Amino acid sequence: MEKKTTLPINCPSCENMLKVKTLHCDTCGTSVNGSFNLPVLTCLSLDEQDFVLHFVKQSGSLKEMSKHLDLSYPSVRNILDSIIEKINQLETHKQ
Amino acid sequence: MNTLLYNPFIKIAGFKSLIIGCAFILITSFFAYLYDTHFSGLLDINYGSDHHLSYINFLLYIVINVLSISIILYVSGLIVSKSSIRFIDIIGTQSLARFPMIIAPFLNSFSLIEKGSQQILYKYLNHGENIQIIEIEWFLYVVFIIILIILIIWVIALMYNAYKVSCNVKGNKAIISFIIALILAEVLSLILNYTI
Repeated sequence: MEKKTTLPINCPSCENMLKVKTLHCDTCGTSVNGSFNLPVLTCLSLDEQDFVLHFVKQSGSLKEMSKHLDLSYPSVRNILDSIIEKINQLETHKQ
Repeated sequence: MNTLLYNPFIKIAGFKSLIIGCAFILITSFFAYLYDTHFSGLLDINYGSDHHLSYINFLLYIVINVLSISIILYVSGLIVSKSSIRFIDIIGTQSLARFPMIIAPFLNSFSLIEKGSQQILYKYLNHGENIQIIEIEWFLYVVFIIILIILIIWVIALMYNAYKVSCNVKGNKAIISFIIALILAEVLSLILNYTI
């Protein structure tokens, strides 16, 4: 069974945001080296990423999301607001 | 189960909670009418017979209480919250937050609180008439008063959780704005209920 791993986004030593240094193609073995920023969405927790994914799939409907998550409308809106706040913070942090 | 008793608003809000809340209000006011229980302020529970009042008066008491706190919390939410809030969520959750009050009228089923309070008034303030109360009645009086205090604390906790969920406010901002809203709503509901 494959072990589930999470993408680390902060440096374990100084806690600054990590960057992508190498990208690798599993098919032909090519590696690309450089210094790439992590996309904002990958910096969210897995639960938050899952929420965003479902939210897009539900055409951005909070009503449908509340049915899907079995939560009340304001609870879902509060989760969305906290994700928006986190994205804004990450974007400010990157700049 | 804990969520259902302490913060049901995570799962129920808006129109659905308003419907359930209204059902509780109708039943609570009916029992309040039967057992002479007056919800004459947002957190006030008074016991005593008043033959001039009809069922509608008892219902109006609770409706005014819910409307007072909902309107004030809506204004508070508009000022304090960064989220886009809906009035239906506030009034729905606030009406449901009063569901424990359904127990309050039954505490006056033997008029014990009424009699005990009259005796205390007579004994310590020399007001009213001397009513003989036996020991077991005093014991039940104390038990009922403790239950009433627990009920009121439970309702306040529910109202606070309803406010936090429906207006998306947290921390000190939530606590301070809720206390101010609670005081204002108490005063407003007392004034409006006094006119009934």
